[in-house]
Amino acid sequence: MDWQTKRIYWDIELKNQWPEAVKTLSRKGAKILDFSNPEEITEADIIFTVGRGDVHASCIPVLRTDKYPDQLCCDMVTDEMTAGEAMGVFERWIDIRCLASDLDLTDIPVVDKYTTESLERLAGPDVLRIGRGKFLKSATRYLREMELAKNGHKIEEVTKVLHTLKGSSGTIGARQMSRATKLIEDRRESEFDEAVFTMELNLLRMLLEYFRYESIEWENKRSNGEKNFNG
Amino acid sequence: MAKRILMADDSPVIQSLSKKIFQNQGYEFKGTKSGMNVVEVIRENDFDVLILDIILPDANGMEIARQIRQLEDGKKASIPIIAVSGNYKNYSASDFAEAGITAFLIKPLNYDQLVNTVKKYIE
Repeated sequence: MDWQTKRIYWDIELKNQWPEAVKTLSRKGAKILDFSNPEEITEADIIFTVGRGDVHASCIPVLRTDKYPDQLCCDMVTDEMTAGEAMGVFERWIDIRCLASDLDLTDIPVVDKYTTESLERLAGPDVLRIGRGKFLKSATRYLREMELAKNGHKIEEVTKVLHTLKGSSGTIGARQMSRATKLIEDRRESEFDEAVFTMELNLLRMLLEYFRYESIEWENKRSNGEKNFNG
Repeated sequence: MAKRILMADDSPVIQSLSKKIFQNQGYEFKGTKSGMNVVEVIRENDFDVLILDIILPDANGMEIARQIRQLEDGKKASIPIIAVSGNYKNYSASDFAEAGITAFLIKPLNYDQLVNTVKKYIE
């Protein structure tokens, strides 16, 4: 993984809590953005924060400490972790962000506008809301099933579940997720590397959180009476 | 009397959305997540169209289509079968024709296209 191009935003509190991690990541080539300048957050490829509620951007993993648990973050470091364990979390998500770039996911919208419009028109907004809820629930289950199948070396089972997830995500308009599952499925046809698939699973978890976030946003705007909002 | 649609697809999301969309269009809709019983359900009931996922966890949609085409009841054996799949590269047009597939749509499903295709063959 090429970390040279990755720009990492560290919240000032995290920098104080994990100074060694910041130094190590810098040594590995990651560009650390100015901790004191929240403006730079928009330039980031990955964000480590203690809990800014408004921080979110497409394909930017957001990590938080357990001080501010939030369902929209991808992962957390906790006060109980050793520096090495925390570093492991940081490294894992930088690699996942690199994978998202490698798969060209970063320029793809989280939610497909056309699919959303089509489903709203044919089924109605309530059905779309329920459908998205079902998707989030079933996708979470599929990710868990794939994790278990991977651990049990049941590659065929992984392939089946991944295929189902691909179909569901495309149908509901989870476009990044749909694209990622397609690419992962194509890679599976030629090889199965457990370490790579572990990372791919984490990538899918991250994309699912983005879709959850976008769905909540969509619903909030709907309930606030904003018309013609297409995700 | 409302026309009846059977859909075989293991995704609860696709089942749920399809049910509402086709009910809104005035159709009766029944879904099954398993491919094992599709032939039996067709044999025992009257449906006007079958939407069939080619890759089901427990069955091969192409084989299901072949078995339906061999049913003794001519009306049931000739039910329009709209196949859907994301892995279309594995099959050619002649494979679909040989299996008795009436129409094929690529996943992810475009519901406008699916509704129009169902209307074309059902009415």
